[in-house]
Amino acid sequence: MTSTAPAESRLSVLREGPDVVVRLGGAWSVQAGLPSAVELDRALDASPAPRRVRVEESALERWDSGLVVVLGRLEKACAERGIDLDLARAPLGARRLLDVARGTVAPLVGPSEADRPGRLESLAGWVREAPPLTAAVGLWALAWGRSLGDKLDFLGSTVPALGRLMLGRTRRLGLGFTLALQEAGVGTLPILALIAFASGGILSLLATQQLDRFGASLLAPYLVAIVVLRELGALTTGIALAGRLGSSNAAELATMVAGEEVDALRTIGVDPFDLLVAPRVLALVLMGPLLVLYANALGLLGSVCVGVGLMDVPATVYLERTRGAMSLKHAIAGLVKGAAFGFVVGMAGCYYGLRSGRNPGAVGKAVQTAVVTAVLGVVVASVVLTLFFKRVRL
Amino acid sequence: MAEAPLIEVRGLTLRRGPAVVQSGLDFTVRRGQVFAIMGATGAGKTALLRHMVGLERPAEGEVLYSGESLWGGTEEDRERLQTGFGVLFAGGALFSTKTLLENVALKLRLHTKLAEEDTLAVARLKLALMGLTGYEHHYPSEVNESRRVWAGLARATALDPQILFFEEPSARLDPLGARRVDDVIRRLRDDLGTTVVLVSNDLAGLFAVADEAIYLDLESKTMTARGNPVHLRDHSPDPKVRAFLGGGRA
Repeated sequence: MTSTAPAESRLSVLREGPDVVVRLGGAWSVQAGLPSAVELDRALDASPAPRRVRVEESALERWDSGLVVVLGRLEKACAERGIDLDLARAPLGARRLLDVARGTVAPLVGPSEADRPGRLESLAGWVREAPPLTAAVGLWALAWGRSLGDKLDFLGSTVPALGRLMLGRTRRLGLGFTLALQEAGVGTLPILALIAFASGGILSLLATQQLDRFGASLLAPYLVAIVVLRELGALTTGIALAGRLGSSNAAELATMVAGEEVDALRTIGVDPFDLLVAPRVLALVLMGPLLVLYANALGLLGSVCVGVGLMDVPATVYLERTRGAMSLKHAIAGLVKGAAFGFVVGMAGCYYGLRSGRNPGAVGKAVQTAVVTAVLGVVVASVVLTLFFKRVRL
Repeated sequence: MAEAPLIEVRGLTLRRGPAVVQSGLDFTVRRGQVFAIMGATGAGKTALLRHMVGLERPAEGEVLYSGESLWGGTEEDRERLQTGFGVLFAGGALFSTKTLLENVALKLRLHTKLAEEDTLAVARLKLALMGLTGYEHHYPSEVNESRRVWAGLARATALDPQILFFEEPSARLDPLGARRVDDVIRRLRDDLGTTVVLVSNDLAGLFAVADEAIYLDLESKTMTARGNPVHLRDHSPDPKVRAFLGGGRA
């Protein structure tokens, strides 16, 4: 008859005079878990302290890496307490594996490095104490300062490349500029339509409701129109571009870096900024304002639909007041922001894409950082430009 | 005074981040030689190649081409030197957004005054020489791995450069393909007088084509052997080098 219940590993600990005897028995498997080592620790710390630990097999049916782990721990515990360990009667195979893990013999695969730190030391190296807050802030600031230089360097390489692109000096590279325009422009329309329309509508609803409490609900169309033109259209465009183009640019470039395509470009004398960065950034700068126009139109449409359809403002009144708020000044403020956001999104995507590591695993991280930075950059640029427009009374 | 060697590496130290990968590298490559860089995985073969073609700036030391330092001059000087190189990266590193034909043609467009139709004719010839007729308008993702390597070879040889750098050309090919690479290298050297710097651990290929080789050692982080690979296999004083070239049989 065969038993279906899983056999268990056994670890028994006996004190024999100055010696501790550890008996290993049963069937050991990592899947079934390791036996508790509480008893063993207690025996090692007992008083009077043991002088020697002897490991013996007793009816050991089978064993696997789990046994090696337990022996490794025992070895470390004995070394810390200055106790001798006698493994002569432990399974020979397990002893050999332990030697390999300890680094005293060459690993089963791969090269051996003479100057490699011991396994235990190298593991300990990973568990570092977190630096105190002041040091952490200092380290962060230093790292930021270093990377700022690199970012300025990137900007310094991009601007002349943009110039060469606009002068048509790089056309023979086969840039795919039209494709970049299409991707940034037409490709963004559907998602932008939804975001702009919805946010225009929501703004209209909230403004009408709140202003109604002061009997000023008829001012809502003014408010909404100005907010849409000056900020909301541009901001929704910026967010949509960050999500779509910030991510795709970073992913494309990071994949090219990983495939050594960018290195190959350099070795044949092509500046990656000419072929990869400038067309993407310029496409976004050109498409930004056009998309803002589109987002403005959809935002105002959303506002009118909600104002008239949901809040029961007469259509003629709402339209009249919306039109009354429209001015070139507000529109220009929004369009400038659109171009700026396009630039910010383009730079973030290309920067983190090109600075990605030469391995495929780095692509995900590059995309994440690029999108987060693009969104952050859009918001910061919006704040800066709003303050600037206030200064110049635009 | 003798003519300066075509490539001279002087006191080169390679770093990866803060870690020193290799140091104290000194060797010369003569014109018309097939020069192999061998060594264990992680020993810095590719890093050395990347430094030699100017993709990475050495931490210490110099790389000179006919006596002119790669990093000593201006960026324009470096680009001029690089124009004389052809580089094959492991796996081909083709431009994924361009067809095989455009991959080869790009370099011709940049560095020659060929008319458009001549550019395409030369590019087609280069692809045909590597057995890629019929694949001109395929994108890299549409052909198999070995064809990508062959297209990479076609691109590297597009301008008939003086110096070719090949990174593991045969690692992704089957044994027959690997021997065809050997033939290509031999033809380049014997018929065109091209100098080939080869990063490879393909022993059969090394014995067949390499005139001289250096061995980068992982433990001591420097080159521990230099000479003809067949000679090193049989007579190197370093048992590790003999074991490496003996295919693991010490």
